Amino acid sequence: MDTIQYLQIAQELLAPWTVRVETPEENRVDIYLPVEKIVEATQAMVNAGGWHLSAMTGMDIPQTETTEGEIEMLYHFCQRAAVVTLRIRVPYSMPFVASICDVIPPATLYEREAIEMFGLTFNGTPSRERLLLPDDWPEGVFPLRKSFKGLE
Amino acid sequence: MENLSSPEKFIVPIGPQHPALKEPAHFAITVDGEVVTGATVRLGYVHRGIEKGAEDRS
Repeated sequence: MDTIQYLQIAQELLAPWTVRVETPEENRVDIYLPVEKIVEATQAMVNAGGWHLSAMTGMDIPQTETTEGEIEMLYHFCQRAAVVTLRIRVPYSMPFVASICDVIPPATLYEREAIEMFGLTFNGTPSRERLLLPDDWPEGVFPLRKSFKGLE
Repeated sequence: MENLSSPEKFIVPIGPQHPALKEPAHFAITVDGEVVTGATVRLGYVHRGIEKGAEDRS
């Protein structure tokens, strides 16, 4: 099977929850999902076999005059050269995402990183302990938000 | 009488610097005798924040 077929299969698999699809590169597809469907979608990817969670990354979308600030979480799944990215967005005021650790236990490291870097809250995550930031880092300061310009 | 038995829980710290590690990392390994019963990890000692540095330069 070639890369395009892998991507098509994943798209069909996730079709019940898909809000929007983008193709940023030939071997990639970005699938936008509702926040509450991320665990089911992850489970579907795992059940399909062959896909592995390559990384979880976050992105800060700062507020503008008309919109509230949001955090986007991206879950990158790979199979051979194919990359499927599941994308969900939560607003600053409701930064709650369901943990996928029940499905993929090692995701705890990525979730801990997102907690301290973006200030997200993962419901049901096994550990919320600090992972990367130093012990004396102040509470409530999230270095990967765009509004962070350095400590005083 | 003085208690001479070994403690039930013992934490073996490994790192941040250790010859077996490829980069600094701290592991706190909880042992019960020879059996490892738990472990925690702390990373980020060489985190350079490259993502943050690149943010304004794209």
